[in-house]
Amino acid sequence: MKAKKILFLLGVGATLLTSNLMAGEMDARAIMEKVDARDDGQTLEEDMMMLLIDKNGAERKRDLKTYSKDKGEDEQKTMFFKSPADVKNTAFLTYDYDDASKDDDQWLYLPALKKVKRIPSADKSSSFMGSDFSYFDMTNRDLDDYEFKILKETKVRGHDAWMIESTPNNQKVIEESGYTKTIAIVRKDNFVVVRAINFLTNGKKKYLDLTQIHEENGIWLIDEMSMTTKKGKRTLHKTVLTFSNISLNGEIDDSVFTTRRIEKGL
Amino acid sequence: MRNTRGEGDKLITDDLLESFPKTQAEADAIKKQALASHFYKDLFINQKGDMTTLIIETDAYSHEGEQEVSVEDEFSDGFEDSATQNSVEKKAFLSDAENHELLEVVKEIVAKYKSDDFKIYIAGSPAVNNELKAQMKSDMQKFMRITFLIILVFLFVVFRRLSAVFYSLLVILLSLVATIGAMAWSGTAFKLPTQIVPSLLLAVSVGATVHILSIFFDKFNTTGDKKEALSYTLGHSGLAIAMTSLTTAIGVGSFAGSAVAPISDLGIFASLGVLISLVLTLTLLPALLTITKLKPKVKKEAGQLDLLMKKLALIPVEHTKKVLLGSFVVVLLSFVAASQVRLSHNPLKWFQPDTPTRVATEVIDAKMNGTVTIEVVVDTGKVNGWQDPVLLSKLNAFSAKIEQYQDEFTHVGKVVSLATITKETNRALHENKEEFYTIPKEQNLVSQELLLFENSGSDDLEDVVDSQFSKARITIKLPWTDSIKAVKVLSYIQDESTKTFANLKVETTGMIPLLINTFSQAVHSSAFSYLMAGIAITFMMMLILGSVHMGLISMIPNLVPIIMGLLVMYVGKMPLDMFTLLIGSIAIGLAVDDTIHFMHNFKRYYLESGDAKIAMEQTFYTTGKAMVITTLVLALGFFAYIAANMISVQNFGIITGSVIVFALLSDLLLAPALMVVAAKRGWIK
Repeated sequence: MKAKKILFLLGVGATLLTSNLMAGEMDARAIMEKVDARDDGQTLEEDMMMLLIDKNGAERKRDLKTYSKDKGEDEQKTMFFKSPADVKNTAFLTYDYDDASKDDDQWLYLPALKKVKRIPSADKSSSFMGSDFSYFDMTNRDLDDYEFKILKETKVRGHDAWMIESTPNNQKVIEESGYTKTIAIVRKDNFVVVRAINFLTNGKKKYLDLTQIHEENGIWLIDEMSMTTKKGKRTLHKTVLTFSNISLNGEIDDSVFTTRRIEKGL
Repeated sequence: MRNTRGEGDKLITDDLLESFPKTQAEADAIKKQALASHFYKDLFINQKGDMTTLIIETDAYSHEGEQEVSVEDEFSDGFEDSATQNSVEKKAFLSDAENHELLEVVKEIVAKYKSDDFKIYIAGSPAVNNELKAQMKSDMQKFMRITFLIILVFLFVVFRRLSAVFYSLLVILLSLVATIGAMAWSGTAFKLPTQIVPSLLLAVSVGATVHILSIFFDKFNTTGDKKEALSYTLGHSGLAIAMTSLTTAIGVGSFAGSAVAPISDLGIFASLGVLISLVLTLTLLPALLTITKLKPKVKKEAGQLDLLMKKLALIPVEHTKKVLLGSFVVVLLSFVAASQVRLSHNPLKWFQPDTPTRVATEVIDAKMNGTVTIEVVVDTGKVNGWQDPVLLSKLNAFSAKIEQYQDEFTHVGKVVSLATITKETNRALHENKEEFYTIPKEQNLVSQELLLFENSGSDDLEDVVDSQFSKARITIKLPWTDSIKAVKVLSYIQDESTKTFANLKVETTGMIPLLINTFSQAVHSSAFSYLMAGIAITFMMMLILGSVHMGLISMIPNLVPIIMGLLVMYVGKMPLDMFTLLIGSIAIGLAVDDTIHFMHNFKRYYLESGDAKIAMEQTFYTTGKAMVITTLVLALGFFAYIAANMISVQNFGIITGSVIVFALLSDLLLAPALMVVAAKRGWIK
């Protein structure tokens, strides 16, 4: 009788212990799942102002108009340059495939050449338009490629948040992203990653900061965000993206996302 | 390593070795592509295709003192306004220690991978500079010890007294330690020029202490009265020693005004050390002798040296004219030789021919056409100034022209600029057709092509233009060249750039201009310093000897050893470079010492006896003997440097040792002869 009781207690104890551990990991993963599952709308049309700031503080400005539309699990994007004048109507078209085995497709149109060129975009870690954001930064991450851990609870701009560390669990995603790990701050109330530090393989760090966000019909949209590349304490370069004239879930025809459309310009 | 090309309607801007080849056929295809590229040639692969380079770019700025920050702090500090962060920081350049650490790691990695049929060479300015410092340091340290030892042994042999040995060494050591301590206290690091300071202090201290000891012991051995002997010694030579130290301090201190910082440090600290040594010699040494139990060693008959000195004293007196004539001839010869000594500055040649760094540099220079650069930065002063096709065409033409340069000393290996990237992108966008390896004619196309290139993720653009496209950097690669020989190519490049980019701000930098500037500054400031020192010392001599005539005459035996030093350089085919230029400072100090001692004492004895011959004997017997001993000790100590690793250190030893010997000869022959003449003419009052 006694033996059975002890065994029972041991069993309960063991379950409690392990379920605690499991609960710990699941919490981090569960949080990230919620982040991933967050609805970000079906279509989005907005103006983007890109401010590039070099290490001496010198600035360059670019204005773009962007269109994006979900196609099932995939995403399509079209971007037109509005300014500066000498790159006006230069356009990019991207098909971002959810299937990890399929490379994304990218085309660009140079008005001065009057030609559309295809660009194989195998290197996601490369910079988007010379900014601090990479193509990898603009896409959703595959949760299965990472191990997540809650580091602590914190506050950002007055909102409660979790500090979660994501570590890649395979070499391929490290090579693809250029990151050895990421630490993200996720707001508890809306599961938005509002800040992150990405650790690059070359020793540099990239600091992401969503400085302005707002909610529209339950969907959180970014008004302004920045990415700063640093080595040690020294800032090497910073990009600020400011969004305006945001039109969420409006009607955008599929033809917007074709090479013929980008040749026409805005 | 970027590889921009077009395939059909695709534009590809990936790496040449995006995926490593797995078959020989794949490898061959890549090799063919690489050899055909104008951009890769002489930059990443040589003409024959059997050598390639890995270019390691070091950080320009230092990370010293940066600490690992915890993640939590990262989030509070890291998101601060970056503008304020950057302005608070003082940007220090990469330190020597960091450079050294870097190279050690590189060497480790190279050692792991190299083999007999896979040779790996390390070259480039960080490597050469690192090796330079390491070898010079090890040489100088080794020889300080050897010189010390020689002096120790010799002192004992001459004086046969432990007190002589130890007290001299004590004074020398204390002066050295005090000086180095002062350097450390003021935060002054040891650089190439300041490494001479210990040797100089050694020479000066030995000179002064041996002088005191020699005269003291002679007197003491005769009278047996320590106190009396000491006061006699200090009275006899104290003033002279103070004067010699002062002139040496002036000689070397004249460098303090140099525009080249390390040379100025040499001036300040060497003169400080000399003065410290003077104080210790006149205070500590006598004090030590006073408290030590000494036994007079009575000499039964005159020692060998004494007899020799007696004989030598006669020569300038009895053969005055011959001595003067002979000296004149030698000096004339030296002047002729001196004018032939070439100015040169090629630190690479300071290494033995088989030193790995020197071999590596020479091999890479030969096969890859260059390991150092001249950088030209052209500033348009406005945003996107460099997206102008007209300006880019000028840049293109300029690069092509410079790449063709050749003169009798050197040639340009390669030019890399924004033009190269623009042409490549243009060609790739036109289906790789070779006729499109040009600068586009429309501004819009240039801007769009560069936008495309920025999008490709290659950071090669940062190397050739700033993010505002207002400043372009043109890298001109050359073989490691003697600074003097590179002057021509540098002025050619400067002329051409000002002509081509008229109205724009053009600046030149890079290793070669830096060395040239440093060297020419060093030469000019040194020349000025020597001149100042010469004038100052002439005045001091006039003061010490009490007359203008004597002062001027004394400069002859002062300067002759230095001119003869140049003769030695000519014979030994040694160049006058930044290192040997500094030797003069030591030479002046030592040459002047002997002259001061001699003339000061001769004057005194002559005024006592009124007879030149007697005065000469007395001078030779006392001061002359001290001078011979000092010279022997020091010459031995410096000649030992012949066994050094670095050729520059060997030369330093040979020249300094020779000058010390010439100074002695000059003051045992020429100066006496001149004094005989002066006495006859009644100039000695």
